[in-house]
Amino acid sequence: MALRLTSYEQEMLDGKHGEAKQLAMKIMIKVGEPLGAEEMTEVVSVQAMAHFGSLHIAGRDYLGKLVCMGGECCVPCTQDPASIPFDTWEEMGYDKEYAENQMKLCESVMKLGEYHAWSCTPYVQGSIPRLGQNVAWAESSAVSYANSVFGARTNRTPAGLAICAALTGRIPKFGLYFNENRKAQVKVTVEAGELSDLDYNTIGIVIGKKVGNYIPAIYGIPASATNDNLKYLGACAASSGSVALWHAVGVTPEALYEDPFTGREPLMEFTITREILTDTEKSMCTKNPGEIDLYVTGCPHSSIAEITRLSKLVKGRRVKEGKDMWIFTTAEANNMLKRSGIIQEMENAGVRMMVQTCLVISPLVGDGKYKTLITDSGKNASYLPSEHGIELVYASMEACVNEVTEVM
Amino acid sequence: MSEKIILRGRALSPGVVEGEALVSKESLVWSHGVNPPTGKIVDVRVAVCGECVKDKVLVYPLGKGSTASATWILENTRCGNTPKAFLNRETELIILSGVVLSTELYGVTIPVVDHFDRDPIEVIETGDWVKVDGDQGIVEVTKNR
Repeated sequence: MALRLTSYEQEMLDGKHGEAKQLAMKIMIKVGEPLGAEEMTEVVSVQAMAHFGSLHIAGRDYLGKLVCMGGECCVPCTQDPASIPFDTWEEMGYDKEYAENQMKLCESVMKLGEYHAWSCTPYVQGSIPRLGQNVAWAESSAVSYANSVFGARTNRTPAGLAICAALTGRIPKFGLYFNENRKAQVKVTVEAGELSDLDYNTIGIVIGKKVGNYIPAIYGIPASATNDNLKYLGACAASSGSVALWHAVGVTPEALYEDPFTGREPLMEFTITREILTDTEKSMCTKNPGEIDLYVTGCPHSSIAEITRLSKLVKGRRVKEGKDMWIFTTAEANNMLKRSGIIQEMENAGVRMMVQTCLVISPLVGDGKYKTLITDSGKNASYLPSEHGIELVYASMEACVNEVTEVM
Repeated sequence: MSEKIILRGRALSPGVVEGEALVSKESLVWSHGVNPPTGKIVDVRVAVCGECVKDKVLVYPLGKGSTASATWILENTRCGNTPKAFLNRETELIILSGVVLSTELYGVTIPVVDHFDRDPIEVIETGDWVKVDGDQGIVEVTKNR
C-alpha cells in the first residue's frame, strides 16, 4: 500500500525544500512503505549517531553529502557519544587518522544544526519528550528510556535514518507509534528482596535474554527506584536482548493505573529470584579474569548523582599504582561538578573523566596495558569482552572502587 | 535432480539474484558483529563466527542489539562486502535502513524478503543454491544434497 503524504511532505519529496530533505524523504519512504507504514508522523526530537566507530567512512561521507546538499535539522537533534574524548585523545594515544575522521563527523553534525551533545542520555540534557509524544531516537538505551520512563513513542530508529527524521521532522509511522502495539506481552515478577543499584542492571540482563524483543510488564519494582536505576534496567534489557519498551507496574507512566496487558493473557511469564540474580551476576564475568587493570563506569553516561556518589566513595583514597579508573559522562555533568570542585578532587585522586565519549564505540587505548576490566554497568559487561578482547569482572560500584583504589 | 523448494514471503527490497546460502540459526548483530573490510562475521557468540557474508544469500531469524547496525551494513557495502540478499523471519527497521542507504548512496541493490509461508531457517541450509526475487517475494531453494 502506498504511503500517504501531506502536501508539505510531498513538496519535500519533490525537492521543493532542497536536495537534503528530498534524499531524506526518499530514504524514509523506501524503508517505511514495505514495513507497513501508511503515513509519516511528526516528531518533536531526534537522537542521532555520528561516532566514527559505527559510522565509518561510509557514514562520514553520507553526513558530508547531506551538508553539501544544504541539509539543516528542523527539530532538536542530539547524538550518541563520540568515538574519542575531544580534549584528551592526543595525550591518551588515540590514532590520529581515526580522530580526524571523528572530527570531520563532528564538523558535519554542527553544520547540519545538531547540538554538541555527544551523549547516550539526551534526557539529562534537556531532550525530554512528554507522555504520548512521538520522537525518533536511535541508541537502544535511550529508546528504552524514552518509551518506558517517559511514555514517549519511538521505534529503534537506526543510525542513518535518524538524521533523515531530523532534517524533515518526520518518520514513517508504524510499530511503537501505535497504542495497540505498546501493550505488555510478557509478565515478569521480581521477588528478590531489597534491590541494590547493581540488581537493576542484572534484572535488565535477565529480561533481555528471556524476552528478546517482546514488551515485558515488570511487577515488584518499587516506586522509590531512581531514574538511574531505570536507566540501567532499560539499557541492559536493550543490549542483552532487543527490548525497546517495558512497563514497571506502578512506576512507569503507561502502567501506573491501568492493566498493561489490557485483559489479554501474557505470552510468557517468569519470576526473577535472588538466586537468579546471583547466578546471572556470576555469568556476566568472563572465565579467566586476571588482576584488575581498569575500572570503567558510566554506560549509559553517569549522572550528576552517580558521580557525586563515586566522589564520596573515592574520598580519602587514591587510584592504585598501575591501575586506572575512568568515568564516562556528559559535558553538562562534568561542568557542573567542576564548579562544585568535585571533579578536581577526583582527578587529584587519579580518576580520569571521559567526557562525551564511550568505550563501547571507541578503541581501548593503552597498547595492551588493560587486560582485565571491572565494571558496574551491565551494558558494558555485555559488550566489552567481545569488542575489546578483554577479561571482565561485573560488580557493584563499591566493590569496583575498592578494587582500584587504596587509602591515601 | 536436486530437490527444489519454493518459499513465498513479504518483498521488502527489490532485485533478482542467486547465490549460495549462509544460514545462522541465531540472530545476528552487524554492529561489531561483521567486519566491513573483510565481510567476516566476528561476533564470537554466534556459531557462524568466521564465515564471510560477501556474495552469500544470508539467512537468519532477526536482527538484534545496537541501532548502529545500519551504518555497519552501509560500510560493508562501501567495502564491497555485502551479501547478495537478506532472508529473515522478521526483518527489522535496522536491516532495511542499511539496505536502502546502500542503494541510495552506492547504487547497490540488495533484495530483502521476510514473513515467509515456511520458516526459512528450517528449510534453507548453508550451501543450498537460492534464487531470490525481491520484487515478488519469491525464493527458490535448490538443496545441496
